[in-house]
Amino acid sequence: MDDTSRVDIAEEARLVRRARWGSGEAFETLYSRHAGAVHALAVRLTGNAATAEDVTQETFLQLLRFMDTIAPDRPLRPWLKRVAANAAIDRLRRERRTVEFDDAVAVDAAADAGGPGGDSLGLLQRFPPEVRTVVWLRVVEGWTHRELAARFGHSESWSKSLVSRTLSRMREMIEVEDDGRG
Amino acid sequence: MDEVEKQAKRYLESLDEPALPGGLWERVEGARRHRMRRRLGGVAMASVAALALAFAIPGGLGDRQDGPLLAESTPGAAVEAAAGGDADRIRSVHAIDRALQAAYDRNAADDEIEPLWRARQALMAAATPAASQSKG
Repeated sequence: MDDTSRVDIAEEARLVRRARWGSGEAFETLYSRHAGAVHALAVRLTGNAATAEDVTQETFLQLLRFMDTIAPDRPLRPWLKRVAANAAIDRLRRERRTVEFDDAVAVDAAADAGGPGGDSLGLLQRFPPEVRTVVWLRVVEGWTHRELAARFGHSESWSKSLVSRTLSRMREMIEVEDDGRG
Repeated sequence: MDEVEKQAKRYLESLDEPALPGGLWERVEGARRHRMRRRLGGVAMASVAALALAFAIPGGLGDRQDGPLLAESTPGAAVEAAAGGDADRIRSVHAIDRALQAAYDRNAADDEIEPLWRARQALMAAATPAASQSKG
């Protein structure tokens, strides 16, 4: 989903430098380029509109805070998405919205599509928050199982099993829905 | 990534992109300006203390009798005027900080704020070698 190939890294580094000096115009340009992707990720990881807004705001404030340390030869978006993901995970853990393994792939009937994430989460909306987060980070954002295990404080096998079982469950749901239409 | 994950990736990437909330930029921009004002306050305190230590001014920062007062709206002139003396340099930093604070408070344009920061940086950079010479 990242479209970093077309990013002019040198130009982006100039924008970061100007934003560091207090340029609202440069900061607004960075925001307009990346806020959509950051917010979309936050929605997918939190499943909550208000929390996603908070995570997005927090991410751009972290950008201000750490502008001095951002490598000028690398695209900014992966850094922003990593910050947003970490912020979302921190919130999950603070809210203790973690699940035991056996509960992980149990479908939450109350959280069906039409919740805060709506169609942007699809079938994932039906799973507990931590499961959604792990699966999205693994499948779409390309996090390794090692990274997921470290960030969530579990083993790699926990991450592998969670993803595998959730994807199997999702396939079953799709088949059921297809049969229903047929 | 195995085939099951690839299929899931295609499915998840085909979902609707959530729309960016309209009022979010105002929230983020408000927080940025608040942060810039706070940062300015912190930087001002730290740099004045650093300059005072570096030049070890007799009478400390309270002595404002000598040297010209600076025009806050002309950062270039501030740097030039401060080139001669350490006390002047400290007053210049004070003046620029006040100008920056005022600029942030009235949501001044970037082309007004950025030269102030550059002038401030020039003053601080000029102070560093002088300080090391005075210690040597």
